[in-house]
Amino acid sequence: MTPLYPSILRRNILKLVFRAFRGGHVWIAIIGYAAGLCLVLLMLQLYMTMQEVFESGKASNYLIITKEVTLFNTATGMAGGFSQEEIEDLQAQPFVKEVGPFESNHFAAWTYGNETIPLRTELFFEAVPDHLLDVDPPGWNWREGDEFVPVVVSKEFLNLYNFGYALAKGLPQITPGLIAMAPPLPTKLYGPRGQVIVKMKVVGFSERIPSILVPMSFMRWANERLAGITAGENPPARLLVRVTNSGDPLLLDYLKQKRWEVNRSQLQAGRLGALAVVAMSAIGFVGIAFMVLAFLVFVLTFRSILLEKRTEVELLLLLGYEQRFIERHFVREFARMLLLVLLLVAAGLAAGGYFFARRMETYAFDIDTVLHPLVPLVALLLIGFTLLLNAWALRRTIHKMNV
Amino acid sequence: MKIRIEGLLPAPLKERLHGRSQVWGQSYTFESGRFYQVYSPSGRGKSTFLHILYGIRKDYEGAVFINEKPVQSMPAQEWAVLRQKHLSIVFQDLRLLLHLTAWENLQLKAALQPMDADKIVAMAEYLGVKHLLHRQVALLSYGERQRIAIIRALIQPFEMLLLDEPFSHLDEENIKLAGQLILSRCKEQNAGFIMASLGYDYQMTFHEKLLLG
Repeated sequence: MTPLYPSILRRNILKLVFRAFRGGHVWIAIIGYAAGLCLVLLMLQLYMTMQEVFESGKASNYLIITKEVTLFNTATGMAGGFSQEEIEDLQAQPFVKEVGPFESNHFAAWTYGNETIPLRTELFFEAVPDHLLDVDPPGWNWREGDEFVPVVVSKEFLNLYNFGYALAKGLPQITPGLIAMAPPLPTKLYGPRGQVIVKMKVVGFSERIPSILVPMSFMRWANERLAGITAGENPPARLLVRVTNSGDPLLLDYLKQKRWEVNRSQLQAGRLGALAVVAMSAIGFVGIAFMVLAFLVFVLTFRSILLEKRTEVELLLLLGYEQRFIERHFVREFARMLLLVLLLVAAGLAAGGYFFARRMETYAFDIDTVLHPLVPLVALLLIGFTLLLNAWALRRTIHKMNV
Repeated sequence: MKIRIEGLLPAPLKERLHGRSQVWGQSYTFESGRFYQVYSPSGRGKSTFLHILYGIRKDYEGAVFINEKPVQSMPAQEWAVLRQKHLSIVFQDLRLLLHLTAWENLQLKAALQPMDADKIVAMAEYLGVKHLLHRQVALLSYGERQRIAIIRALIQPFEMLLLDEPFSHLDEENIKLAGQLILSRCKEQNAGFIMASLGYDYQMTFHEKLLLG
């Protein structure tokens, strides 16, 4: 039973005096601040994700450059290759990170196929420096005497086979896994210096390079052995170039001026990326402006509460309550409001992330939706800053009461 | 406790001062255990004087020392301790929180320097306001509020009590009771009081009567 005249503990006094602390305007301030913060953090997260996508080369920061095929090439039968000077000049451009020349085969190839892959056809091969490949298949380091020659095929070829050739011929469709398990294809290679029969095995699929790729070591060995041509003797017809940003206008100008050709869609992706960054920055700025306004509303709301309760605060000081005791109460209340903001922001980010991931899934975009560590850090910094600033303003207001 | 004033002169009263005041512009020491009356007609600064002693007003010339410490430079923390344990006050405008009950208002003080609930209730009973303790202060008459304010000032330990026209809305019978309660609480602690009034004696005996102005 509660006593008729209960003593009230000191720590409960302020709750009694300042009860009915939260009005409607406080809720609006909390929600507004949370919304602004959420917007800024989502933009930051998106920005970091985009940055990662471009950095990791998921987007096309790899370009394949060729020379325009002209009537001259057709007439003379000479392929337009890149000279050493041209490669060096390209390498020296600020937007170029790396240049990898393709090496082509100078011999003929005929595969007999097998039961799994009933494909009898003439073949061509290319080779690029190993580290520019987007896959790292086992056994890629070929040496003379190895059981088979590993081959990486463009993913597009598999699609062409499955959805074009196989359907038309009534052949079974095949999966990448099945191909990996299939026995090697016996293949005859022949050139002016002789012929050799090797076993070739598809070990991986490349999304970056639309070609049939063999290890560089094998290509050089076969060219030398079958055609007597050493590496670098013929100018490469295609260059695989890693650029900093495929949307870079400098890059586009350079290619235009040289009249070299590049896959348009690859360039388009880069330009879209650059556009997205600009759009995101704009939204980010709106978010920041929104957040600053919400922050002001938040802080002013808190101040107005304090001024509304001025009589009470002054009386408490007159009765002998310490300033710090009263300050702590308000800072605690404020921290509670900020905690609420933080919870709302977390919910907002989770919802935003989920929505984003779902949308990206429909575009078959494989993107990490894990929160970038910078995002919670920035959130905590901003919240901490808000708390400190308010504690300071609060102290000033109470000191000014001067009783 | 000794409260010493030294040439004390509040800024707003500077021009209106005349030579008869025993307080303004003078040096004087108030001591615990003694009862003082500071009297004057309205508008001569009675409240101002008590507010200066209580540290609320700082716009004056001269100096006030509490136990020989100048109060003008006293930090807020020290004022808090003084107001909790050594110096109490009944404000002329009472300063009760109207939205709280009488009991809650009393607890604002009791939470700082705990006093038995029974003792507080006994004081309320003595002044005839016990049955009002759970009523919201806004619903009490001014006389009832005045008695609550007096009880609030008597809850804490003190060496000097400042009373700013504490009986202005009380009838003779209640003045007598309130006076007796104040005296007994003062004697209990060997404390003194300074009462500002228009000059009535309220059936009390004072050690000193000072004309304010």
